Amino acid sequence: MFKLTIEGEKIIDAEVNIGYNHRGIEKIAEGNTHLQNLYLMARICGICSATHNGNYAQAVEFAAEVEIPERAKFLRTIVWELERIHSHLLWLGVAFHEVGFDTAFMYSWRDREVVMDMLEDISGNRVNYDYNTIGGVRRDVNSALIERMRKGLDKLEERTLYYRDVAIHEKTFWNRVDGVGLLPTALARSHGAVGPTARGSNVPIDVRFNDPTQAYVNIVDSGEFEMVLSDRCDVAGRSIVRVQETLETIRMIRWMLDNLPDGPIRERVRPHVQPNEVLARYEAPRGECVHYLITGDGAGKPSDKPYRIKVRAPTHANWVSMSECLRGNHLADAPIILAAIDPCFSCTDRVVLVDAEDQTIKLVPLDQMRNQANKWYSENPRRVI
Amino acid sequence: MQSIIGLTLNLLIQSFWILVFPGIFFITFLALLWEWVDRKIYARLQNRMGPLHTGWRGILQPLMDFFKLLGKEDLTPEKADKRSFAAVPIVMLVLSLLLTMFLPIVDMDPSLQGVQGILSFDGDLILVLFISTLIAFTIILAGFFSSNPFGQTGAARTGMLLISFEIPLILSIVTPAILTRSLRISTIMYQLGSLPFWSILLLSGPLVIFLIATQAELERIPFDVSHAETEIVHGWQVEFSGKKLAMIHMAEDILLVSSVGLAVTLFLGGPYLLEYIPLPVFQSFGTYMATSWIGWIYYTLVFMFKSVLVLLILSNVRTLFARWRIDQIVHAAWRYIVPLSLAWLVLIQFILGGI
Repeated sequence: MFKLTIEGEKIIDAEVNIGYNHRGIEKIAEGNTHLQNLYLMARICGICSATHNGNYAQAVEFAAEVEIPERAKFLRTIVWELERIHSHLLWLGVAFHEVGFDTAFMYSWRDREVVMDMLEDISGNRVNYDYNTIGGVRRDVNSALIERMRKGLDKLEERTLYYRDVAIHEKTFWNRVDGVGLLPTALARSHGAVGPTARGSNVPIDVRFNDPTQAYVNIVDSGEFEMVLSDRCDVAGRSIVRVQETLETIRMIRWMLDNLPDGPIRERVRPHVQPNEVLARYEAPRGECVHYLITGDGAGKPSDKPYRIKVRAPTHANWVSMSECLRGNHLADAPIILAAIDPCFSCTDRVVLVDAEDQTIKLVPLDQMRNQANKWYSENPRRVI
Repeated sequence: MQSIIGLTLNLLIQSFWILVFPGIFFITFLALLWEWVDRKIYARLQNRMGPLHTGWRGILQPLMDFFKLLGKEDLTPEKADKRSFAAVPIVMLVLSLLLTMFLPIVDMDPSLQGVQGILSFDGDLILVLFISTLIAFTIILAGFFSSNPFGQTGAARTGMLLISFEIPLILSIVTPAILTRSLRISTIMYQLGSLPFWSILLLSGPLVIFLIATQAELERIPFDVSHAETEIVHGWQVEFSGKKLAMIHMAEDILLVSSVGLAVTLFLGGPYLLEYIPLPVFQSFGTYMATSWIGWIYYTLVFMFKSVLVLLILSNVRTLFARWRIDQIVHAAWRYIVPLSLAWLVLIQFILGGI
């Protein structure tokens, strides 16, 4: 939620106010087994479902200290990258819509259907893929499916090139993003921006290259791929980064399909995971997504449930830089600046209390919330460490 | 006795003209039809289906939308100026209907040359321009009376649009008036046919400027800043609901009819089509149509045909562009469009003076 102070059409101050959707996912997760949690995590966000799903699976594998088969790594990464295409095309449509270019919005969302169908083909679902499982992936691919995917990738590449041309050469769109929402490199660094927001400001942050896991290790080792950066620092820079990244991603998937190793797709992992404390990082389409997982039952024994899971979604990291971006711009540019970080409210917004009986909505300040929480925990002792 | 019957009959015919054809009923029919055409073209160009279920290919959808809005709850904000808030949609609807009364669609007065609107007198062109400006003012009032920050921002933006595009609109209309030496819409339209062929070149520039200005007056993409839903949640319309919103939508549709109709009338020769072919057959056809009652049907159909052509252009423009920012619009208007229309006017004076 943003509070904008405007003077005529100029934004003179912007205040970030994180808040109003507490879904209690981290709390629910503590009561579920790891396998159940995979499906819960996928539902944190409909667009990044493979992100949270895969990153949680990765976290549990790190905690259990198992190595998954090569083929599973590749398949997991393929689904991750397909999701990146789908997310970036979706973002492109939203960006077009925010500047009132509804035709391009409709076109890009139509072509997003291609990648949605590919994801359905490979995982069985269009939105919540649930493709990963602990120790590997759920489904294998065959040569016919790979052939279909190659065809889909050709179509996507052609359309993405077209949208790149539309975004760059269509004057009305370009004038709306050129020089708008400036986020200088130093500011992006100091405010902890991640993902395409940071890369659009020439900050080389990309977990895929900085701290590769899964098949990204092979991808980085192959030396054929580079991080997409832009030194424009404005919304146009972020748009270019996203479009170029989509093209890069299509190349990555082709490379992975070419070098797909044979072997099993799944490694058996014991449901009871030893006590451990891990941090799993993954470059979600919107930026770095962090899952911090403590396994075990908290008393030093293996458990099939997580002791604590903390999810840091990328929007949360990009949020703070937005107030700097918005200041001094036109009110008309506020939607596109905000959209340029690809905000995901479902995984970022935090708390509002809605009374179920009379439907009143109450905003609770953080300190009051903390006091209440402390009081509740002192009255209801939960677990002993 | 005879005179009373004659008077009553005359009154009945007059009311028929104003209320049914070519007056309010027909204009409303056109408004809903144009909205459907516009939505359908817009949707097909965007690779969507558009309205589909109500009637033949969704042709009744605008009507159903209107009825649906009539049945919705009508809310007035607490802080709003209640009486003025309720008056604005009515004033808007009445003004836009009044504007369409000047459109020459069929021959209302056979004693005069050419086709007239229901209202027609010397200098009505100026009144039409005045009313179209008034409508823009009602939009500003609608925004301010609703006392909503979004509404007021939208109203301010409408004001900016007004100062940018009212001048090119007027200047572009001046060209046909100069060429035909008249300020009466029906005379301008009739005289356009007797101009030399190369005057098409002189009219083409103002037509383009007129269409751009019309797009801005109607607040359609790329000039839809004053009710941009992603920026200021429908701007000046934000507080209107129920019957008031239905009336505003109807007024906008009727404004579309009259703007498109003005372009057809002032630049494209109104409801004349075949008469322009210089063959004796078509000349006598024209004379027959001007005297017979079949002419009413013929003129109406030609008017609708030309209007749809203009509408096609406007819908295409709506599909092609992203929304401009208000400063970009004002910049474009004063840097390019206003000087261009002034220069065109000077050019025409030179050409006419030279000849």
